[in-house]
Amino acid sequence: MNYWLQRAGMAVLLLLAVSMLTFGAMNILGDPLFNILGPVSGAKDLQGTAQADGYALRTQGEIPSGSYTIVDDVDTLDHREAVLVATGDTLPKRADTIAGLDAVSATGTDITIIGGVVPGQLVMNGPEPSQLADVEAAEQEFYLDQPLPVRYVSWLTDFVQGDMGPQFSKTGEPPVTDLIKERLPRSLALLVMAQLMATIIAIPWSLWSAAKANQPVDRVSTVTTFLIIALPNFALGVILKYVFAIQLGWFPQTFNAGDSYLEQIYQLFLPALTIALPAAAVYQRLLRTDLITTLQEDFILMARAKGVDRRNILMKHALRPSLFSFITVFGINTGALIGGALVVENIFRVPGLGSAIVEAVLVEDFPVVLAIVMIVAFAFVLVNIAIDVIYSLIDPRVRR
Amino acid sequence: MSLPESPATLAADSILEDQPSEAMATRRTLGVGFWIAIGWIVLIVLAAILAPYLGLKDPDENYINRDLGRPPYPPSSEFWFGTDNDAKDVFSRTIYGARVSLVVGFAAIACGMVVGGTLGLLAGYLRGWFDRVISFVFLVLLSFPALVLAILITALLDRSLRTVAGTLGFLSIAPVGRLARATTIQFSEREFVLASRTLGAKHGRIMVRELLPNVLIPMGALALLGVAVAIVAEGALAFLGLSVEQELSWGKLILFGSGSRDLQEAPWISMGPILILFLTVLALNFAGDRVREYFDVREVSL
Repeated sequence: MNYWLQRAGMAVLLLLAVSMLTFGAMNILGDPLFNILGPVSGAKDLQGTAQADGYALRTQGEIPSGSYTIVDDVDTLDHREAVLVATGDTLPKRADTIAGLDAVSATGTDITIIGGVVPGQLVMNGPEPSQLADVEAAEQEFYLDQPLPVRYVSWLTDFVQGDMGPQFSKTGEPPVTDLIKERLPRSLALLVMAQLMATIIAIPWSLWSAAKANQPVDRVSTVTTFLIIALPNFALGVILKYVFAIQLGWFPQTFNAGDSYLEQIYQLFLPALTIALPAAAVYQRLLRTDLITTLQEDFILMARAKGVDRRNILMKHALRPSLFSFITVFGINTGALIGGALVVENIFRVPGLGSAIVEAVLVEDFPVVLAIVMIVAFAFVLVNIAIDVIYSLIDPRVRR
Repeated sequence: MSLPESPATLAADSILEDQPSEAMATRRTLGVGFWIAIGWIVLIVLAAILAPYLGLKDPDENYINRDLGRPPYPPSSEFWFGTDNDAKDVFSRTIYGARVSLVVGFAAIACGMVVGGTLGLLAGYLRGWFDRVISFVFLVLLSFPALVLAILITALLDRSLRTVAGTLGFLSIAPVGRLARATTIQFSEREFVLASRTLGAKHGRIMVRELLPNVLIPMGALALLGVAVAIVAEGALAFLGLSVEQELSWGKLILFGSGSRDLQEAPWISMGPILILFLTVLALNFAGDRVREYFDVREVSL
């Protein structure tokens, strides 16, 4: 009992650590308000070439002159450009500003902008009056007016209750929870199919290999596993797509979310196979060696002496005790497969969590990214606990 | 960039040699295959370094040839791997792409070895609260898919060569560190460490002179495998559009040729880079496996 409490406590601690790290990194490195509202100023459209202390600046717009405080370091780039993060009166802003470099380096913490701004992103002295309402609404909605720890706790309370909040976009629609509800089943189906296929391939393959241990057939199969493992999954995906979808035409090339469930499973076959093949190779190597070891145990000799035939020895006597490390690696591998699924979903255009996270990352839609990261971490922890349970069911000694 | 299979396969491979006499004989030489693998790796590394001096075609030049009609051109004696839709030479692009892939692979592992190795060694030797904290950090890092973490970091920072290599290096800290820690724990109870301590050696000396050389061997074996994992991880990132932006890499080249139409009309655009990537990863895996067997790393696997 004590053991399980400790185990669960560890899992919760781990999830908290993961969420804290991710949440912190996103809020410190990114600028939530910028992501929600975009550049808060109308100056984006302004045209003009600005001059600052004689340097010609590569700008398309103009920003009002004035004093700004630099929040972050000033990063000097080529062409006498400076990237800096400055703040106005009320609003933290991220800006890739190309401003007069002399003015920047002169004071260190304060910058006087004489002119110049990068297209799109902007340093300004606070939002324009017309946008104040938007800003306030966004701040309330995303708890942005709170300090970071408070924000984290609010997010966590919502999250635990199943509300993952709105997306970081102007409308916030659809809510992250809905998006996840739509995407998760597909990824889950893909992973379950992949693991099933891997197991179905690996068990007979390893039994066959172990029965013919060190014979030419077995050596060929060992080399085969080695080759499969060396082929990265995106390359394997491209090859499978080329052979089975394009040359042979047995499977569709892409996924269509509108089709019936049966069709969808059929469409998921190739992506699942892409994930399953390398996994099967890993499992096969492992099971084969375990089987060979088990086959040398005394109780196998005993069974053989009693006249049990080869097939029954392999299937009934040797397989079960050999499954230990297979179960462990099955669990550990689930994590690696989730990573692989992200890539494979993109090859076969499966709109699952994998493509969702990539889309979200590209537009810096952090609530979505955070939700997916948490789901993945949660799944991983869950699988590991499940393995522990299975282990202790098979072998009570583990519980100590 | 996880190396989750390594402990398992490590254990697996060593049990595999069940006939001791024969196993000893095979384990004590590196074998011809090893040298072929190393040869291939050296060849690729040299080709990548010397790419501008090899008389290759310009990777960004359009070699449109009126006699051949419209590009893409299939592989021929002129274009070894064919050309892509813009009549750019796939072979020379693959060689130039090797530069980013290899730099990322080797730099990432070097970073993982230095940071992870140091942390693992310290944790394994000092034990106590330091070990607990470090182990927990490793656990957190390993507790979700490395690729998700890599996506996150490259998305939050930029996509320069330095960031991508640094990200993958960061991700290799935990697996390498765990191995270093486990190995250190195992060796720190050996007699020679006890002897050194009895002779009055300080902690620093014990760690550097006694433990480090022993920890380096399994780490070196892991490093070759790790380079392969890092190269693949870079490819996966490139496939998601999150790797080094300006330059070519193998993952990017495969991505460029992986559209349905390209696969149908000009499969060589992606198959060329796939072949080179596959052979390189294969060589690294094989060499790493041989080194591991040669030094008999099994006893320190977990």
